[in-house]
Amino acid sequence: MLPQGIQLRPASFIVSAAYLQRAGILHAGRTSWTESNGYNQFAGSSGNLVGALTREDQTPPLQPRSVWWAIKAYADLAVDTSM
Amino acid sequence: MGHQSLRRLGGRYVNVTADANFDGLASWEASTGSIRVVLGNVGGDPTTEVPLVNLGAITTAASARVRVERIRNTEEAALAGMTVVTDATFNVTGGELRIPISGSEVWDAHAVTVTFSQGNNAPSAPGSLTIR
Repeated sequence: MLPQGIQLRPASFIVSAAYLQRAGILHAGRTSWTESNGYNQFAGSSGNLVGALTREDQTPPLQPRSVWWAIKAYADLAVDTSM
Repeated sequence: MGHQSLRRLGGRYVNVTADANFDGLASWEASTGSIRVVLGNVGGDPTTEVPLVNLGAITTAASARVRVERIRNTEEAALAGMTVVTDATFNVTGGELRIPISGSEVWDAHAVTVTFSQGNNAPSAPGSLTIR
């Protein structure tokens, strides 16, 4: 889910998750893209969790970006979707 | 960045109605007496208000601790963590609790945690939540 241009924005992740929840979709994946320097989020030496972390060549390397915190806040909803 | 063990998933989704700028999700967890809301700002308005309505369906508490955190959009740059912008006690009036959010910028997200420390909490019945 999420086009390349907005993939790293916290609001885009949250609002997309809201749409999926209202539609009753229980499982979805985050799309892997190339970043501003051509880095492939999925095929790097270790990858950067599909853009959730900074790249290995950034300072600091492999640290949470803002979208990582949005994903965490979404996970902290701790909803049981099996019931 | 620490490693966190899997937590118990006991919450229920609560209905959320978007406004022109903010939309998101919310959950109610009876065992902890807490409501969690996550919002995304896709319109650019720096402020909104999150009214929690029909709280009588889930708790008899007269007040709640409200914590609002901002997730500032940094695109490809690192972000050290969320920023706490509100941490205070709010009164429940007529089954409603209104949470102001300010200082938001387009593409930011916000995490809201509401904890009812007093009163009886219903075991599982969700209330309804409106964002406007």
